Amino acid sequence: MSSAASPSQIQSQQAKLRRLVNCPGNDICAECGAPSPKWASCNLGVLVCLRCAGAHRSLSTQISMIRSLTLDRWTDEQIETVLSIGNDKANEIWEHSIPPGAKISMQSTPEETIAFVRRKYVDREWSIHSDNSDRNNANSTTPVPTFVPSTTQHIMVNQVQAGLLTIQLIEGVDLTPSDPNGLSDPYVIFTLGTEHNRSRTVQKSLSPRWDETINMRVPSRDLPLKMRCMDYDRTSRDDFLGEAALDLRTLQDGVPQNLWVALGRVDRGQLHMVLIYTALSE
Amino acid sequence: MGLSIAKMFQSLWGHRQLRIVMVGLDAAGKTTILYKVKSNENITTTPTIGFNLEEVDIGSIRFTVWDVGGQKQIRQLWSHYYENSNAVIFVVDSADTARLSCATGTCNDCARCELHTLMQNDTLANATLLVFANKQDIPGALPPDQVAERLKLSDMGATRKVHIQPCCALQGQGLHEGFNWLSQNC
Repeated sequence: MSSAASPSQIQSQQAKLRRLVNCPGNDICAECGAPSPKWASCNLGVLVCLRCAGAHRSLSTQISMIRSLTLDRWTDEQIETVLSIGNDKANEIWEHSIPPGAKISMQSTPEETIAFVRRKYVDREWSIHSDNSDRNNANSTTPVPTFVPSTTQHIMVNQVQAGLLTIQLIEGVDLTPSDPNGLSDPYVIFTLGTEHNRSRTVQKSLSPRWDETINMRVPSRDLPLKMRCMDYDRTSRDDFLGEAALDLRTLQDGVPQNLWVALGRVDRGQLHMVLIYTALSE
Repeated sequence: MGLSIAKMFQSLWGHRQLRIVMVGLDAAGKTTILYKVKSNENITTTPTIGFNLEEVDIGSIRFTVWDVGGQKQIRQLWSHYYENSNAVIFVVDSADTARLSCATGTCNDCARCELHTLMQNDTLANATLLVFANKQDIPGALPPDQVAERLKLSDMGATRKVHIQPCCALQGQGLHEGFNWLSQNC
């Protein structure tokens, strides 16, 4: 026990760990929202509750290294990492494109919690810097690099861009009713490569009018623009209202293209939009 | 057939009882191992604050297994569970290579330091040691001989019975082999 931490060291560590609790968003669990989390992933930089700590531990320490704020010894480096990230910043990254309803709650089962943290940190399904090739190899052995803040600033820069796509989402017609009132609360998720963008939700309509402009980066024109129309449900999983994909190679640089897109995998519904592709690097 | 032989042995000698204390760093897989051998279930664990106590029958042996939490502060409580233990099961996460051993051998926070501190305890002078090199399924996990080397199992004393058993608790591989070894060496 010769090199055990001295009382003063332990006190200063405890003081630092208390600072962690005061970081933005750290008052609730980064996963389920439970109050006063007492555990932390010292490489991902998030504070979590006991139950979610259990789920994190199922990911292996290469993905998430869980420490107790009260029962474990921390290195200064680990404390600095968590201090510099925190729940709000981390979730901006890892839950960047999370669709409504995908987040777990305190009522979620342990199995749901494990599935959620897997999608979030292993598959990186909603991550701002998720990479499609990684996603396709979700079982690949590549460990997630330890997440340190210096990489956050470079995430956007690293992407090679071929161009910019402006989507003017105008309206939908004849959508599938999915709520008991015979209507839907539709929104659209656009996916291009690894980037997702969603429109706002129009309440109670089968012919919603969005009139909304969405800009997306186009890493390669060989990637299709995918769109999925969904019905927002407050209390249950959102319903599927149809999907479609468009080939961007048919678009002429800088020329607006007015389109009516029929929704597939359902038997009704169309989306009306104008697409403008602007080449950046060709 | 197997059952009737087991019953015959039981009627001859009854259940032999072994008291086991299962320890190791946090997140090594102790609780997962306990419930996998107890009921062949993959339970969803949370960090163990305190301990789990289960009786597990394997063959003619009744193991009383104390599964004690591994967080640094809780490790100070391990000594309360040692008394009268026939064997120690020490569980390590073979993929958590950073915490298997430290450079100096004096950090008091890695698996090797904790194991050696533990086994120096007088009450465990005659206890058998089984090391589960768990999480062998994770890429990057060290094979058992390398885990043994990192833990310096060769320094456990000439008289002590020591065995390292690779395992994967979630799939159940290696667990019964480990317990069978214990039943023959306690």
